[in-house]
Amino acid sequence: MSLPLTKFRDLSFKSSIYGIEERIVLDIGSCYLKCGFSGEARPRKFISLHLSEEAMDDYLGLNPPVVPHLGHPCGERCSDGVTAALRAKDPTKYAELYDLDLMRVTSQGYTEQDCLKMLEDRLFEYLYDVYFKYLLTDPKQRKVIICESPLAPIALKETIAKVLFKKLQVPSISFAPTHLLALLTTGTATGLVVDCGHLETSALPIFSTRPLTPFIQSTPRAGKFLSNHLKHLLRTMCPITLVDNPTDMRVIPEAMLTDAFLETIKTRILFASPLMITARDDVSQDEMNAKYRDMSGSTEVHVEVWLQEEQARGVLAIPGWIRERACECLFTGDEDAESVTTCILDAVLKAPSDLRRPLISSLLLIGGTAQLPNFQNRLLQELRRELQTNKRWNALSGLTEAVRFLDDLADPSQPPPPPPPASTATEMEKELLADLEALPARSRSSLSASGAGSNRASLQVDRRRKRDAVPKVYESSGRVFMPNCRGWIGGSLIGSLKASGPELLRENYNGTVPDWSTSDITGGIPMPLYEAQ
Amino acid sequence: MLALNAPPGQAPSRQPFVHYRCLCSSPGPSISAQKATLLPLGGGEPLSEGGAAEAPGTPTLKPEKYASSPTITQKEPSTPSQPSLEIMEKLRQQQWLSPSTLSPDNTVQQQHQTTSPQSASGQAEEQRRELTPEEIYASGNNSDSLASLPLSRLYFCDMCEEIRCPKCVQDEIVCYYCPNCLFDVPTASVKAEKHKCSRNCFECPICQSTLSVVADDPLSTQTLIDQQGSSQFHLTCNTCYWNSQEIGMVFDRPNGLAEHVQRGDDKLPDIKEFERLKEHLEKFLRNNSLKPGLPSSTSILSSIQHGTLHSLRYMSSGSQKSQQTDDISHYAPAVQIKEDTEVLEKMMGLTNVNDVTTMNQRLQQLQHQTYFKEQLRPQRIQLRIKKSRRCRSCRHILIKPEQKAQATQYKIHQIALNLLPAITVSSIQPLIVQTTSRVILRFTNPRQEETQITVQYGDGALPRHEVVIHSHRFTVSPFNEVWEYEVGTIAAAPGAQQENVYDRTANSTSIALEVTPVAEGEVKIPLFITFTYKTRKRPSDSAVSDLQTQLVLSSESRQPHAHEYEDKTVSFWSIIGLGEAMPTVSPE
Repeated sequence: MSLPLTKFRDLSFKSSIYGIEERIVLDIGSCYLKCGFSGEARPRKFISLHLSEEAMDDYLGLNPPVVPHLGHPCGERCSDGVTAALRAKDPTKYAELYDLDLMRVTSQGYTEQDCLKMLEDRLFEYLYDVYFKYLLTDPKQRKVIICESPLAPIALKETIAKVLFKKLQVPSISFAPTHLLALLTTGTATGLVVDCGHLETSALPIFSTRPLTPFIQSTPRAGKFLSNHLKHLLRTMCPITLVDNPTDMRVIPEAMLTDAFLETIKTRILFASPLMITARDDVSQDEMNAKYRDMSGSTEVHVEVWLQEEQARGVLAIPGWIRERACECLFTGDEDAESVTTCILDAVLKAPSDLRRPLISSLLLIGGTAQLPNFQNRLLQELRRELQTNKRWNALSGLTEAVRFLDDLADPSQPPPPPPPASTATEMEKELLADLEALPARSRSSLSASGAGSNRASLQVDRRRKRDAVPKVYESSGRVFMPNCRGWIGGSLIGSLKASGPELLRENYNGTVPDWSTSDITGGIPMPLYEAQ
Repeated sequence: MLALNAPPGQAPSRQPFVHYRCLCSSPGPSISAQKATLLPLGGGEPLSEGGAAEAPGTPTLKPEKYASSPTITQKEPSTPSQPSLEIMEKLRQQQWLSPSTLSPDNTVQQQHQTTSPQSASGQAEEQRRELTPEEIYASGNNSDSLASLPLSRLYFCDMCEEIRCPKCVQDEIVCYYCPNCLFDVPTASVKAEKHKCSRNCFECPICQSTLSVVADDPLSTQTLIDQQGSSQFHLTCNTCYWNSQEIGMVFDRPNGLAEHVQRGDDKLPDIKEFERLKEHLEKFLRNNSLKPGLPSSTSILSSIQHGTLHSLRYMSSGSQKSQQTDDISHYAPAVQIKEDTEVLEKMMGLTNVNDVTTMNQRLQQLQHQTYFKEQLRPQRIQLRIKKSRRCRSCRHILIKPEQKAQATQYKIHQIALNLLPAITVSSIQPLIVQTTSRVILRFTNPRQEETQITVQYGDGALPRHEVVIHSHRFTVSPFNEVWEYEVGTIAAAPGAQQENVYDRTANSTSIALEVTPVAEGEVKIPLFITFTYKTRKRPSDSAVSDLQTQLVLSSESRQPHAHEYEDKTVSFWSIIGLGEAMPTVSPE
């Protein structure tokens, strides 16, 4: 929405008694859906899409699984739900809302159409609940802001738009990139936002409110990857002892390792170890595990479980080293799936050289997986170590000290105090020149010759300007917002400021949605079709 | 309700059921596909999809339609977007204006639209002309029970004469109330209260059940009013015995607690910080919009869709100017929250899972999502709403409850249970593959009029079990309240003709089916039901009679009397699940 200034000031902060002005902000992930009204500091409701309420509440397999009422999934309400039908079909299967290969024929034999239809039905069920159960508001009255990842499949966006426009008849939708929204909640507009969610981790550099989408990096090492790794660890390393007969050891049955079970373990007892142990290629996984075990100072957690086959209670002992090292899989990488650290540094390396320092000194970690206790500190350590030891990041080696998270309050007790973004001019000059020299030929050639030239020129001016300017250290508000809500909160912010970007109106909806990947590359102005009045 | 013939000691894994299929979600050869062939709309062009609501446009009718529907123009104060609409219309006219498209079907639809102008706004899918029984037959001829529903979940629209399911109705909010104290909350104050009860209703932070207010001194509970001021009160959970004293939450008064808790909530750092950010960004936006010519002169996020371009431009052109002006200026936070280092220590020494909060508990308090139970706070109870539902095609209300929270009556109550014959599986012999077993289906008529029912087995079922229906066509006597009070079987109403049915009692008729399963697994048979009933002709003021007069112009268009009856025929698909078929037992 591009309002002239005068209008903008009039509208801002004016709200009617019924609060129609507020928009609905939706952040639809593959596992959780966040919804609420713009102008509020936190989402109204955080809905789990893949776990039932009971599973989220207390499900560790202690209770025998509830036998569905008379062979049907409990009563009429759920029997018509596609979600319930999916769950009834295969309760162990992860029923995420969508997968990254949304458009592919799945192994279950569903075609693309089936998948999209299923997605549409599920989305409708959830969004209906959002409006009539949680937000209690008429969908026809309020505009909608959707926080989207730049890498979200377009089919997903299209389905969301279809459900919202056709079934719920919302007046307009605007899509806004989660990464940018999250960054706005820190009060800055430049930074590298790392979204560590369920399906993938993505790192997107943003400069002065502009997402540098071509430099986005992503890796599948995220929540789902962690779940699978945890599953493997539990199956191989954690036998169950029967309560009645402690010498009787059983391997944890496959059927018990449901999503609910894994999610419970992930969210309740896992954390990231404060100790870094270098995983090397020449060391086997078993040796590594042994090393982890020796180095671990954490306690073992006993979990009572119900063994369906034996009809007996058992105790699953999860050793401390698994609790602290399960998430190690996110920091190690291979050819198929690079580590989170590599993903971040790659994004920095891809970015123009003069942006690298501002970017790496203002990292922001968002997403649910990022909420593992101590995960952020661990990532900071990993980043620093990687920069120092790995030859691949030679071009960035000068930046080791600058690595900093935006929501990290500078702790005086910590040995390396992050240097201010602009130190003295001469130092700055040296670093920038070094950066430029170190710029790999690959990325230098990607910039056009004139671009590089003017870059250099602009740097000169930059430096002169910076010499005059009083350097200001960024003041962080710390962890005032939780990482998994930041994207939503940003959406709420721009919604309350009526600055949510171009809107797609219902009258103009023709089945397609605007997306950076499909937008017209020649025209800088938004297409009139999507522009608000 | 059902006579189950399950083998002893083994519960049947699949229960018999009767589901009705709503046209909106028919799988198989879908209606939309048919529509595409029958109607000129919905071709391959994206244009037609978007404009299908107004298509197929007859140009002479268009202006009338807009004139007759002021609601549309009111709803969208979008004068600038009109030109694009016009362009689209022109395009559409060029495409659809061939005279061949003006089939009678189109006239029907056009009429349909003029009678219900609201439905024209963007409901391409819901635009449905009246389907012939053949089309309905083709739409649901399979045994997929996924998109079908039990009768109790369905509505029946009298105007469209079609089944409506929760997916093809439009919900509207009637009133807000607290599910705990059943207090009606006025709409005006709902938003300010954040859709939560503003009285004394709280839910337990541990188990989410309702908390009750208790005086610290149990003796003083009887004399709450007298002791005000002298005693303190706290919240306690009767389910898990959580007590608000544990977290130091005590109150001086036994009422108005919500306000008290809310006040504490507003002081939380995330709310302060959010307000600060809002101010900060507003300032930034204002500064930016003052300077024309910059990439983001219009809005901070106009770059969203075109962020790529701007960033490229930034690299190729000089950045100094934009950097000076359009970066967010220095920000001073309202609060500074340090990361809790305790979490790590506690996690390292954790021995019992139950010391850590569950996801559900955490997600009640999104501001900090604590790992520890000591930091959980009671939450106010979320309000609920009463809803009314409209048919999406004709906008008539299908169900509307009384506006008071305590009242359980309905003002309008067009549920399918009251209007469609109810089918029940009254007895089944055990189903064995390649063995014929008898199934009795009972049809109960909820209407005040006698009903003719025709039953047809859908041959599109997979696997196709052999089904022999003994009586295809029969009548069901009207519903009579007297029968409610009588016990035992009642002979059929006098005058009703005798049919070859299994049984006739009161307002229900049972028929026998012979089912021979051809494969193991759940047996689901699709039955195509057509029922005909007499009903009073509608008064002429409704739009439907307009339509009738236009369609049947040749027939005498006399004023319908009050006592004039007409035959109505409604067809629908039902899916009868008969449970599991067992494998053939080898002969001894």
